[in-house]
Parts: sequence; C-alpha cells; structure tokens
Amino acid sequence: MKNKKATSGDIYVSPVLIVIWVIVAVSIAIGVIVFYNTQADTRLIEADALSTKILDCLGKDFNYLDITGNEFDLFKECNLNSNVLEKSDNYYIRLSLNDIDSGKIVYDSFWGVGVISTQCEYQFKENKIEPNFAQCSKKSMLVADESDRKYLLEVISASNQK
Amino acid sequence: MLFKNKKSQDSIAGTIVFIIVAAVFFGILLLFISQIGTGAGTLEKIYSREIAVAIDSMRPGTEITFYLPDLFDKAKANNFNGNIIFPNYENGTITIRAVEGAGNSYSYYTKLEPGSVSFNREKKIITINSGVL
Repeated sequence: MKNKKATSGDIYVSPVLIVIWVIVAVSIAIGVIVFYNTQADTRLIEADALSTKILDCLGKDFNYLDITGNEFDLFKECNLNSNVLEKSDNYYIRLSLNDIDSGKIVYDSFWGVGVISTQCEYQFKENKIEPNFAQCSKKSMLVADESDRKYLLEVISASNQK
Repeated sequence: MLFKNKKSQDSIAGTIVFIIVAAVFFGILLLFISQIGTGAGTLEKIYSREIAVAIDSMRPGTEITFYLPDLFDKAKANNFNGNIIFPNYENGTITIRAVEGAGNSYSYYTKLEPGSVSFNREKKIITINSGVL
C-alpha cells in the first residue's frame, strides 16, 4: 500500500533527513581535518634526518678518541641546536659505539627525553609505527679508527614534535 | 495550466525545495572543506613544517628556494604586510604567517646563522641558506 504523504513532496526535507545530512557533513569535515593533520605529521622524516645528520657528521673522518673523550659535545660537533634537542622535551638521541672484534659496547649515551626510548624500543621490536608514540629512526654505520679497528656506530633518533 | 492536478504541483514544488535545500547545504559543506584546505591556518601549518624539515635535511653549503605563490597570495588577500616567515635562530623555530596573528611555529634542530632565512614578496619565494660548508 502506498503512503499518500510520501508522494506529496514535503516529506523530502524532513527533520530526519536534516539530521542525516548533518551527520554526513560532520563526518566529512572530521575526515578532512584528520587528513590535513596526518599530512602535516613530519616526525618520522625529522627523526630520519637527525639520524642521517649525526651519522654523516661522526662517521665522516671518524675519530674514536673524539667520541669517547670527556670533551665530546654532540651538538657542537654536528652543528645541532641543544636548545631544541635537549630542552624542548620533543626529541631523543641515543648514540652507541660497538667494537666489532670484542663485541663490547665501548660508548653509549643519550640526550633528550629518556622516556621516548621505551616507545622506540617497542616500535622497533614490533616492527610497526604507533602514531601516538614518538616516531623513531635507527641507523648504523661501520667505521674504523686510525689503527683500522672496526666499530659499529649506531644512532637512534626520535621526534615527538606535533 | 501546466500541471494537471494539485497533487503533481505539490510534488514538483517539494522536489524543487528539496533540490534547493540540498544544493545550499552541500554548497556550504564544499566551501567549508575548500576553506580548510586553502585557509591561512592550514597553509601556515603545512609550510612551517615543510620548511623546518627542509632545514634539517639540508647539507652544509647548500641553498633552498621555495616558490610559494599560494602562501604569498593568501597573505596579500588578507592585507598582511608583515614578515611571512620569521625565524628564531636562538630557539630554532620557524614561524609562518599569512594573516595578522601568532601564525604557526615549528622547531628545527640544525643551527643556522642569523640571516640564513629570507623572503621576497614580489617573487613569492623563501630562501634558506645552510651556511658555509
């Protein structure tokens, strides 16, 4: 049986329909905002660039005594801004030097927010990216000192700048 | 008379009202979405990040020039004549502004010499110099 009201036209702009439209509009708006926010997330690129920068800086003309010495200043050595990396609570850097022959870690130090290391370890272990965690990058390079002793220079960098 | 009876007249009028309401509603929605994508706030946010990341990815002794007509045009449309890009070399932040206000800031971790960042309003470009090799 046909509904007489349904053919009269005015049923088209009913309150129910308006509510449906509003839900659709709000969903689309949220989608667009989320899209633009995701697009503007550069944390992984930042972390990756930081690892590359440190490896480039320390691996090129590698000097074992420079890195392991008491006077070693990563920020000065690699032209990095300590105001941003140490004081902003958004970054983490871990630098380690592993003696290939003995298998011992001869240098291990970190800068920035230590808590981020847990987030990095979790993501590396699970081999996945957690959007709510700081984004991490791990890079390593084989280096040799003057006496041709080989080391694995490893850098873990993370950014949580939003 | 164009329509044979009142019932069909009502139906046509209802359909027309429906089309008008739908067009207005979805027109406003489209306008809102396009405003989000090309609004000053979005441009400020995206470009502050892009430029900060570019600074951190630059190798020493290089120069990058950004051609950003949309950002400069937006600033012009908003009658904004202040600094479109404002670097804080000490704290390592880049602030982009296309409208009067605080703008959008983002940090970069590479140390830049004062004067490394400049812009040209006529050419619509932003230039970053990473310093001496």
